[in-house]
Amino acid sequence: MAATGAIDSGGRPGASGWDSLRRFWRRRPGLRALVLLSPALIILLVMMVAPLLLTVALSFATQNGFQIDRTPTLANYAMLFSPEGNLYRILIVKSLWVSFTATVAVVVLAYPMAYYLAFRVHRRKLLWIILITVPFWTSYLLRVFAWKVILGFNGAINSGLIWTGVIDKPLEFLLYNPTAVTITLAHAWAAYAILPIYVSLEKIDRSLLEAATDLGDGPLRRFLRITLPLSLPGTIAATLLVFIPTVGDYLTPSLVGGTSGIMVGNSIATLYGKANNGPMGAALSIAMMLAITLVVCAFLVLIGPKRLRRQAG
Amino acid sequence: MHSKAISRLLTAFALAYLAFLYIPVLLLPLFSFNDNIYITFPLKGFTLKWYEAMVAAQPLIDSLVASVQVGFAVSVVSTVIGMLAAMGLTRYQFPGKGLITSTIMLPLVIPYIILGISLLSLARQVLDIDLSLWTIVAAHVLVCVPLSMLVLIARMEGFDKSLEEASLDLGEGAWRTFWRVTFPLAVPGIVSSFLLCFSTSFDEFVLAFFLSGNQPTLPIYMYSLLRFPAKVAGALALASCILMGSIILIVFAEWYRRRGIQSQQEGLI
Amino acid sequence: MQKSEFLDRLQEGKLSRRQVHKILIGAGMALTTMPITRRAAQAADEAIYFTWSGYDDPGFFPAYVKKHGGNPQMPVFADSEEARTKVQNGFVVDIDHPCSTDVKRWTDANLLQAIDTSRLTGWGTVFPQLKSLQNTQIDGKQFFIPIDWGNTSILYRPDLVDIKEESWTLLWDERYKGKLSVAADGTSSVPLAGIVAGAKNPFDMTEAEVAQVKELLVKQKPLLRFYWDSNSTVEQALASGELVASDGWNSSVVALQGQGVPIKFMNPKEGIMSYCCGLVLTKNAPHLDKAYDLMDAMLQPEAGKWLVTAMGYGHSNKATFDALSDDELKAVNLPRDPTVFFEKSIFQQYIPNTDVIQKMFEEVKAGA
Repeated sequence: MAATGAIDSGGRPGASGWDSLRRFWRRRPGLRALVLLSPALIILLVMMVAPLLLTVALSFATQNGFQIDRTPTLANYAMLFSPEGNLYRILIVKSLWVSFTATVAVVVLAYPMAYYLAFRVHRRKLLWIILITVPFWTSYLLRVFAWKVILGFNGAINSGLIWTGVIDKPLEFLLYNPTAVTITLAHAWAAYAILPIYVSLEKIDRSLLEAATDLGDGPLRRFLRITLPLSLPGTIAATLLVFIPTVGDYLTPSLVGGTSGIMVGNSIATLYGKANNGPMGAALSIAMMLAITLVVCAFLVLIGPKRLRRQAG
Repeated sequence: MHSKAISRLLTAFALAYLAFLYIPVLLLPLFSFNDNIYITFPLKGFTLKWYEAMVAAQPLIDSLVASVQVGFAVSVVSTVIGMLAAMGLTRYQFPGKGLITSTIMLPLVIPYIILGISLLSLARQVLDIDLSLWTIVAAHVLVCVPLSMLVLIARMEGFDKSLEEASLDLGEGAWRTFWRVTFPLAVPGIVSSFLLCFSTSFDEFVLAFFLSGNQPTLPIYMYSLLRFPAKVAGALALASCILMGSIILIVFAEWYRRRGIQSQQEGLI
Repeated sequence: MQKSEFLDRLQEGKLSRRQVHKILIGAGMALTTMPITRRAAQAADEAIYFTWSGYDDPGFFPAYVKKHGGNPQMPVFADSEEARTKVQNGFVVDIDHPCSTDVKRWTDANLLQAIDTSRLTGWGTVFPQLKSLQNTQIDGKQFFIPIDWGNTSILYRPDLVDIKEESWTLLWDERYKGKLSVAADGTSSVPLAGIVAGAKNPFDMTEAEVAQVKELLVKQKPLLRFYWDSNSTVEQALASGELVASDGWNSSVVALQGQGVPIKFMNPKEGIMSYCCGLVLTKNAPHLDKAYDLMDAMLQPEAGKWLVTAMGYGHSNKATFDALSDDELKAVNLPRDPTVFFEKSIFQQYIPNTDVIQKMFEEVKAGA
């Protein structure tokens, strides 16, 4: 921060204590940062660390009926790597894949929309932003029902195509398969992708773009050299925001994914509940979280440690 | 490539995308007037009975009010905390930044069902606090802070400190500097954060279920209704009302704002 | 700002953006701190009945409403297991609404207290077969009050399906590939396959039988459109023709017929499955007397009549059946003397090796 002594009030009796405090404050940017971060960190410590530690501890236990045997054992993790654990390995990989494809779909579709909002809408931007989020205030369940109506057997698309004579029997591949899952997810996560990208694009200094044009860059070069890189924080944020939670999501795949719609989240929920095997559920969750972390780190490394350092710096 | 063609393509895409967002949702009011408890074509006949059922279903409406209250509280608290955290992370250099960022993002990684059960244990068995809408707010804040922080970091990244420094040099205190310089620049991020947190909380089921007391929120109530298909149609009417209500509210706010602009010639965000 | 001045300014659009923001924030804070409704405040001392959200109709317990002037407090759940998990982790309720197959899970987790049936006036005329369902009594003490029961069988569209005899094997019929469905819940679909496989006790199968059943389920998977998660999904799909047959409850028949969909409820030669759900009393119930009032209110024929005619479920009290007319019973497909069902049907039971069954079913679903 600027000139430390510039605004100090001078000469007030008893002010020296406050003055030195203020000087101390201004010279310690690290301290200021910590204070700003403290609410977030406190919430996390109180509410997140406990569940996390409980889960890790549980993953080393075993359960018999309703009794939990706390003697530490690696049995659950061993199961994950054994042939019996094939189910879980398949589910984790599958969930990562479904989430990956859905994320790509969402972000790729959202980017042009965010771009339009940031550069082509000149008035009433707030209106547009709110209009984009309003559909998500209706219940998620009902929206999925609506998708079933559109994609389903007697649904809008099929009825329309039959009525116009394009086909004479309803298409069955529109619903209850991985494609339907991707479409539904691309819809459900739209706002979470658009808004971060928009926020990032919005703040790009227009004079940079003008300068580039003046120097002879065509629209495509301008986009690739200036807009895209500068919107990277928002795009990365969007990618993470969509990818990470989707891996653990089991609702959408179970509602529209058909018989192949089971993901790792279903399994975790069952293990905690009906199957009465909390420890295994905990171990599977930890495994899933580690898998996500690995993929995310790989992604961030791919983006370029240099660029990342520049952004974080 | 002609920029005009690109422009037209972009506009077409934007409109198509909006249609994509809204068409499933606009089907809901359509079926809320349909004389059929099942949401399926062909349409049977016009009826208002679902709206009558909705008005009579006091618990349904109570759960809607609960969700709005929770959503609002969560958005405000998460955005404030996220803003502070974003400011801390984007404007200062200190060791361990990456670690702190990842730590704050942790709630995004953990499956909600585990989080829900653990927080329930924490609340009831360790801290012995009763379950209520406030426990739901706490849980939702936990998962919305990373969201808010991510959006605000995207906005505040590379923030030009010289603006703030100029303001301080000119004699403004730190608090006023924040309100007159930092805050207005961050507004798109703040609004986005608010909207995203609200949407997340308003539609969230798992955490809300495990941490709710005797008053359910709307998603809890609706998921439970699936056992009674006849009642689902009443929920349709409610969702349509929410949709229509929000749009009317927004249109009104926009109309009002334009009148304000006309009389004050104010700028835009 | 004075109120009239505010309204004038509002009309003229002269309020500055700052002022509008302040007002919005104030309104928001007021909204947040306002108690939900006066009703909620009044209800704060009523019995806590943890159940499905559709049960909050006063028709289910008119005697309670009459005695106490309002509904009990009703937190809701969407899944019975999740409900138990929540109570196990500290959520305080008086009464829960599980099915008889789950009661053992509650008693094993030490969550319940025995119910003093002498305090229930309606208990005397409850069907004896329902009083003594498996695992609902311990040492002669009653831990479960049966309320609603029904049958699980195959719902099918007679206009789209052509069968020679009624059998569970319809759900393996290759002719209807891609138009069938079974429940996503392993505790329902696996015993179903067990019946078809001829297992001695479909609810307690040997390792060999489980392997046999797994093969059957793997064979079935490509014939299914999806595994259903709620009867709303099933009914919707049957109504639209997306499915021609699925397992489901008799209440769905009533609903579908009510909407004019041609539907039949099968009586399979291998035997129809029955379920019974009801009330349990938690160990540390805070409103014991009101809880007993509620349980008794739900046993009364008045409530039972509502349950049968409005929801299409069966009621556990014989007096209810005596009070219903033949037409009313016919409309919901229930017999005058349900003991016929209780004797012949396959009552759903607690599955001791649930974890094995669930894992096997998941493997089938995941293709592992």
